[in-house]
Amino acid sequence: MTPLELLEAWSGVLIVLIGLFAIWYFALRRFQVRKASKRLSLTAFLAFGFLYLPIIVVAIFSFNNSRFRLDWVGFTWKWYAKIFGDESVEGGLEGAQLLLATQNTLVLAVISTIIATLLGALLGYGLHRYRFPGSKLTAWLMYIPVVTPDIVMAISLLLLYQVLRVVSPIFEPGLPAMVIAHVTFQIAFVAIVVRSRLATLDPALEEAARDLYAGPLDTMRFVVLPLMLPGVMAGALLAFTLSIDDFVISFFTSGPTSQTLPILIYASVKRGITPDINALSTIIVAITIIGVFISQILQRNQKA
Amino acid sequence: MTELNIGERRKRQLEESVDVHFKNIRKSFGDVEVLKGIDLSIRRGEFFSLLGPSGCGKTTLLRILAGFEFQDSGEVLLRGAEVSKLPPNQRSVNTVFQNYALFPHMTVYDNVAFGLRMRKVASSELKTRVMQALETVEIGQFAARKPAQLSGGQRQRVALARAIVNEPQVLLLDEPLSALDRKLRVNLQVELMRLQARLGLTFIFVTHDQEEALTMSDRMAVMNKGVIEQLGGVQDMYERPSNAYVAQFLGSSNLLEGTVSAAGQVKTQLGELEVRDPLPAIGQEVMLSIRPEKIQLMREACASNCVSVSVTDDIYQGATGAYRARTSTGIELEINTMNTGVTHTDYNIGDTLHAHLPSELIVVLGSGSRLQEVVALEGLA
Repeated sequence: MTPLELLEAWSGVLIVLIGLFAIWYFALRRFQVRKASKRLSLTAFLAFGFLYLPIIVVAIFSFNNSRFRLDWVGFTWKWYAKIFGDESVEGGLEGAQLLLATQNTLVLAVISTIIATLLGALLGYGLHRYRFPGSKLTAWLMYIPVVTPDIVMAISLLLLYQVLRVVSPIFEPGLPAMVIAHVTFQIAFVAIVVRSRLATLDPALEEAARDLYAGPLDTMRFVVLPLMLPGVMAGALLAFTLSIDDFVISFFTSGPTSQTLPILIYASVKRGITPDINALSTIIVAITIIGVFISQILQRNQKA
Repeated sequence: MTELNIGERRKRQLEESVDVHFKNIRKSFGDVEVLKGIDLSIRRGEFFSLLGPSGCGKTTLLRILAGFEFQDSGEVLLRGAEVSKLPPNQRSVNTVFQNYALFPHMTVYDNVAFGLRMRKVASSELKTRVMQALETVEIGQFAARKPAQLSGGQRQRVALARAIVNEPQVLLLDEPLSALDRKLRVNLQVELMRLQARLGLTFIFVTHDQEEALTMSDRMAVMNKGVIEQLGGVQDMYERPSNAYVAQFLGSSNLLEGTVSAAGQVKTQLGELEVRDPLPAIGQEVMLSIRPEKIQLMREACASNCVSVSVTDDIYQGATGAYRARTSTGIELEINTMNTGVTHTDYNIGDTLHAHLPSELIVVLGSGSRLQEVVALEGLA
């Protein structure tokens, strides 16, 4: 191997490392870290780097101007252009498939999020506001969908749907069944976020509203709802990103025409990773990160 | 017949002057009975305090009147009308909450306007009344701010304005000053009294601070473990506590056990004491109380009710001073003096002095005095 070839083969790794150190360097300058903590910060940064490296690699290669090679050829936007409908770009996924999968993903995420947010917010409020026989058990059961492995949840749903198919065609593999499946795990997340928001509120606020001549409905409308809204929005965003991300549960409940993006990616990866999949993954990650970020901001603002 | 009519009218007049009437209110939380049959009338336009240590049931009683809790038995009458079954929004009382409970997502103006909006007051009238209420508590310039941008004292004023703007029959105040620092608290005490006098509203003020209750109220009730220990005008209650609990809770008191030995004479651990208060029959046990500031210390012997003591502690308190002095029989007396001279220290530790307990200032406590509770109270202090 000539040095030039070696450099070419290692170019991808080099770019990643240079990128990482550039970020670390600017972070150090930005936050004016003391000398003594610089080594510590490097360790922390490497640990985070290890966590995010795969994502960074995918993002970098989504800009690589090569159909097959895993070394750096040149910068291009063309894989993103292809995803957004540029037919002239060769290779990769079929446009129609991609469009359908995107549509399915969004329909599934939006509908399941709306349902889960309504139900989860009610559950969170109910658990916060009322003590009834079994309320502690309910609060505890709420965490089960959060800690259950996706695969167990998926198989359970698959079995349940096979049983329920007799009752309604809604439980046939397909979008409606997927919506129900997503709602089942989303509810818990929404309820937990809403409940923690409500826990920060002074219980006397509702009493104050009642004291000032508001009936139960007006108290809900003018005091409780506006105050729990940041929690509800944060919960909804979390639910939305969970739905967009989900592969396992979707995979087990989907039908032939209800492929979502994660399922499509999984299916096409078996035929080799194409750069447009990198681009697609990068977009999904970006949407997820933005969603979580906004969710965090909403939860932070509530303290003010 | 005529006499009966006069009696009827008089009874009606009395009823009309009563704003709030609790009739045999009982309330339990689980196994704990927090109110054990409270009977209490609060007069129209008076500043009334419910005073007691935490857990005595005073806040629960207030919450029952506001409608946040429901009594297990008994009746609550508001201007003669039974309100026990009404939800809070249908009762003409408003509450100033302990931690203000201002709506954090609304401006000061919207907070104050909330009650009027819920009652569908016309917008032109609403604006005048809200601004008027804000001016009354002198926070008109903060109308557009959010509660988070205000100081504790300013929030307290908003909470007050939010309640009085509705012109309630009765204003309930649940320890509204306890979160503020001392100087501000004293200022707001005076302002609250002035406000009450100006508006002529009935104020029911819940507090655990006896000084605050004594300063502000016309009448008060001292509560303990779900019962009212004593009810009356503030001066009466301080000067003539009916039992040891009240004597100790309202300031401090020297309590003396004794036996009636002759007419106007009680034999105590301090020796024979002359007492002006009516006494039970000879041979009966009684408890006497005398406030620390009513005892006079002097170097020369006095004629009657004089006890020889030696000073054990000399406590400097700024405006006042306190001495602890022990008798030869080992009884400790607390004596307060005003710091009127160049320095308070008239006497030194170890001085042998005479303590004069004026016979007209010794109070004979009622048979309801419970020594155990006095001991418990001292344990807390």
